[in-house]
Amino acid sequence: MHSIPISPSPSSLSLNLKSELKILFVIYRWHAVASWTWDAHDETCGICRISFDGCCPYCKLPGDDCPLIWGACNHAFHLHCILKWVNSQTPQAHCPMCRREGSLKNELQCIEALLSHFVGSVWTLE
Amino acid sequence: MTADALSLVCNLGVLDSLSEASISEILESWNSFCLITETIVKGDDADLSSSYSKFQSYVSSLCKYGLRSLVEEHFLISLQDMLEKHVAPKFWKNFDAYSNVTDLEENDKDMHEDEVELLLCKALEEISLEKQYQEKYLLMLVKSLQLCQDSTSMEGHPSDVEKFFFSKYHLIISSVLMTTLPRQFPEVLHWYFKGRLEELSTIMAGNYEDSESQDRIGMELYGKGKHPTQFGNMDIDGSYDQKEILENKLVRNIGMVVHNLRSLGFTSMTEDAYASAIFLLLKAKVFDLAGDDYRSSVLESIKEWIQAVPLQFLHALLDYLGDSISYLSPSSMKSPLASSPSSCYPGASKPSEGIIRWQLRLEYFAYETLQDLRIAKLFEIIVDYPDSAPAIEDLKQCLEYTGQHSKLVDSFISALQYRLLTAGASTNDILHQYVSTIKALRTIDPAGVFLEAVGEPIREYLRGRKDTIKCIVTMLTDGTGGNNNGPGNSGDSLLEELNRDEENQETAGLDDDINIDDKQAWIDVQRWEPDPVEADPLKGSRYRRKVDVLGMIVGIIGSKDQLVNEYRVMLAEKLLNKTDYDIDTEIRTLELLKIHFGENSMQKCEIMLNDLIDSKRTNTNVKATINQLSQTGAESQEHEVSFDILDATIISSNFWPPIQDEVVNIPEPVDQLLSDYAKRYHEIKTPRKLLWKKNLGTVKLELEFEDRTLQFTVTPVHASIIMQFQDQTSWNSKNLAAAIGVPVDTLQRRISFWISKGIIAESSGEDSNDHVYTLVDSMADGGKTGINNEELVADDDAERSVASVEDQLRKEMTVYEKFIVGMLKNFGSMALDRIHNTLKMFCVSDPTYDKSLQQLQFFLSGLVAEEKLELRDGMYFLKK
Amino acid sequence: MATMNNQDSNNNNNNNNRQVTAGPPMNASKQPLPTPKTVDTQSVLKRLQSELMALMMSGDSGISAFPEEDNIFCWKGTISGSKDTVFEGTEYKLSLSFPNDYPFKPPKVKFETGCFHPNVDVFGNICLDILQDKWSSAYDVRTILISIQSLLGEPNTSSPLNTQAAALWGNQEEYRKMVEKLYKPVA
Repeated sequence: MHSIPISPSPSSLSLNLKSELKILFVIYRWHAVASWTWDAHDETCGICRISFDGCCPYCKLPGDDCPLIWGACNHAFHLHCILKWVNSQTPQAHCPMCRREGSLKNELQCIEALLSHFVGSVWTLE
Repeated sequence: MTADALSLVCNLGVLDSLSEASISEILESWNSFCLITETIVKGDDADLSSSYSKFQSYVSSLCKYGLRSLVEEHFLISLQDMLEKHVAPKFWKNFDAYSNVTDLEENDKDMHEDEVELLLCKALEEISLEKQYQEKYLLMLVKSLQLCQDSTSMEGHPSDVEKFFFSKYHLIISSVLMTTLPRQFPEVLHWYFKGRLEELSTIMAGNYEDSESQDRIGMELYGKGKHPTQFGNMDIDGSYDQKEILENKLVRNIGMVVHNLRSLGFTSMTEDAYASAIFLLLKAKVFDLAGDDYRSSVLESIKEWIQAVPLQFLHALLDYLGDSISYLSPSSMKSPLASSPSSCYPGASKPSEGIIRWQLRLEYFAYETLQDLRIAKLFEIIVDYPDSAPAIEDLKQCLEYTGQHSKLVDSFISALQYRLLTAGASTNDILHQYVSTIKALRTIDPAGVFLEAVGEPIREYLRGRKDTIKCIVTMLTDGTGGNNNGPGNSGDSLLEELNRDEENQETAGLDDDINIDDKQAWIDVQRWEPDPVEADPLKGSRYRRKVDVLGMIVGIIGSKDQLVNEYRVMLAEKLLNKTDYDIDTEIRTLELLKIHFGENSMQKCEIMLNDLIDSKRTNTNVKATINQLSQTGAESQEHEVSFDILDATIISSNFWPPIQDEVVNIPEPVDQLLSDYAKRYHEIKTPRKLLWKKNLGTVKLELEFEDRTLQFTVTPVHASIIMQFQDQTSWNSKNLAAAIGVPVDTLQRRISFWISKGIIAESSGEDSNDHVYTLVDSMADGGKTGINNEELVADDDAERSVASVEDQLRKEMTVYEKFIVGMLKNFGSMALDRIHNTLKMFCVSDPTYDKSLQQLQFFLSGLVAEEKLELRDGMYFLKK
Repeated sequence: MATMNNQDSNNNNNNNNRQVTAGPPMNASKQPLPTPKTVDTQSVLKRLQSELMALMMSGDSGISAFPEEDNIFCWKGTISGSKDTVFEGTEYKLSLSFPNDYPFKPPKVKFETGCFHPNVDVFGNICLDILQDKWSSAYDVRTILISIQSLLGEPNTSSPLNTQAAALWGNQEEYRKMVEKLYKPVA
């Protein structure tokens, strides 16, 4: 498939003979584009109904500022949403998705204390 | 004669006491008096002084018998008779030649002008002479009567008698002339004054220019001051003096004519004539000065001219008349137009009331004339804005004076309809004219009342154009969008300019309801406090309503949301093509938009910009740690590409407009880099991960030929195409498309870039659908040497990386339909405006309901036609 | 971190003004921690709007709901009786009213159309665990309506609000006749 049935001009013929040696391709900058996403198994937060890749209603910026949190049941929520849920339940909180109960509250209170340098943590229910 | 009879009857008592001798004396005196009166009045008498003594004795003897009134009556009638029979016909005969003057063409009139002047002067001189004679005769009578006054001692002060007779006489002469007035006379007068004024204007103009040029020379030589002018005047052959003499002579000449006309009782006709001549000249002058140049103000020069020519003329004239009139015709009637002759202080520097009144009249006329001229050309003036700002300023002053703003509105709207709002005008042009109109008219009309009326047809028209929103956003945010001729940097956006304006106006920018979110509005309402009592009501906040240019631009679309959305799409496009993370301009623009549209509206845009900032940091971080790894791992660099060449922009896709995902196989080594990069990202940012959008981004590459190097900045698809030719110099389209992983038609569209650059040659393949692409040698291109830097502006519609607003619109319609069905399901039936309000209330994000009632009605009638809804008695139902 | 006190929280008139926060009021958005604000209707609003959008787009047949004209906290709902149940062919209107701390507290849901059902009283009150102690913030209008729809066909007769209905439930034919007799659809 390297032959050209109708050559446009004589010069392009000569090209075929020497081009491989003469032309060098250099990529010297490749600026790519990507989107980030939370590696959750669901799309939206069960509490606020907003996409994980968006941010919870209490935040203005997504990503680092509005992290997700996974329970032992592997359900993910916006951290800020689950904190609100846990705080609204007395005395025991359970996962809003699967109703699995546990001492969620204490766990979360510990996490809160650590949160100042906390990004995308995992919490456990038990 | 009834009058005589009456006076005889009145004196019947006297008659009884008369003796025969007395009667014959009376008769004799009467006859002689009549005779001598006739002689005197005819002017035949050579020896007036001898006649006078005889005349006097007849008069006194008649008065003795109480026949004074008879004497007076007869004398005046004789004078009138003379006027009617001889003087007036003779005077009017002069103008017989012009009896058809009103029918003449303008050109012919000019030819007769000199003639008219001479004729009028001569005729006036003659008749004035006659009048002087008659006045002399009248004086004889008065004197004679006064002599016998002591004996009868019935009348008042001697001067009162004299006044009485002269006023009576003037009444007679003017009524005689008026009743015999030929119809062409007013026209003749008008001609005369027109000619004289033009002459005067020429002389004055000469003065004006001369003294100006001399001033200029003088100023260069001597600095400012009056002295150089005087110096110059004397220096140049005394030409100025000659002009002054000429001018004085002319004014005297005119003064004489006016004076003569007045004394003949033509006071108001004369004034009409010179007034109309002055106005005519003024009009011509305004036209001449104003012309089609809008870049300089002419109002001042018009005013100067009014001072220099017509007012100076009037001043001189009135001064001239003032001196003489006070003596000759102290009781001459004043027309309302007339200035009172300033006899009290002739030649005084203080302008008389009359002059001031004239000045006001002339200026009003000039303002009105200029205003009409400018209004007629307002469209061109605004096209020229801001260069034409002086003309606008003139117009503003004129309108303030005349108050005829409505003229402007009507005329401008029709100009717009005719000139601008046509299919041929580009949306950009219309928008720029709209903005110029706003800027120009807010000078004239700070409250924006007329602007509202003028702007509406433009807005209405723009709403019908598809690309309006896009053009608005470009105009607002692009450096080239603003008016380059305006003050400030030419690269400024309109938004930047508006903001500067606002800062200059020092007003709190947020007092327009378009600018603020509802939440903010609520806060503002809560914070509201009444203006302090001592505040100047004109400057008070409620009166500070200024024309909000941005608000008027947003007003075209109706809602800021659409504007913001379009801006977001445009911003996305821009950011995705950035290679340096440099977003200073965009940040600045966003800040400005936030000021005007509120922070909440711009939230997504802010996140987009934030993504760029984060990307820069993350990019550095990822690359730094990945290089460490590869170095410590000491793996062989078989691909010869290092992480140095790779940069990435990482976006929070939820906040970006929908992005067109397109599969493309990028060159293997780069693909490897991307997955390494993503892996490293996942390590750093777990549990977050990257999804590459391989069709997006920018690639800079270099093609090194033996004699030259070409640099290109292209999209990843373009780069992937050309890189395929590194190992294989010729491809057919099917195989190449498969290698890159794009459809053949996409390939054909993209590869045309390389063909147009002369890098790839295209030829037909084995079957007609197949094309063969071959790498072209540099020689074919004329052997250019050196580095050739080519930028690809990836902006044709096929290459947009962001879904267009039209696509999003289609999606919206589906959502509205579902909402409408949802509400009807639960509420049974609803009227149009309740549906409208409910949509407005609840369909608030993604998409936001922003349609008008009419648009909704149209949409609903579509659903009715599709038999999804029913419409009964103005209520919509779900079709069961 | 303050905790909330919510014993009586199903009463939506007595809303979360009672929630107390420690610390000064602050901008929640900049804060890594969500501080329950005294009134945070904005986030409730957002959630209800996204529920509405989701419900409109879901296209579930047999259930529907929409907020009343001027208040997104009060919705009207419609459910149809499921096929092959005694309620087939009937349609019931409901009212849903949401508390200010939704979704941390459940909405109040009532039948507006009279419904002859063991777990529905004459005032339209519904006895359904997920609307009381088994509430979870993961539920939404859609799942509530679906639950009520299935409750129609699968009542809990052990703790009935309407004992007559509970007694009759065993005789489905008679029950069907009763439903038809009492059914008064809203015009």
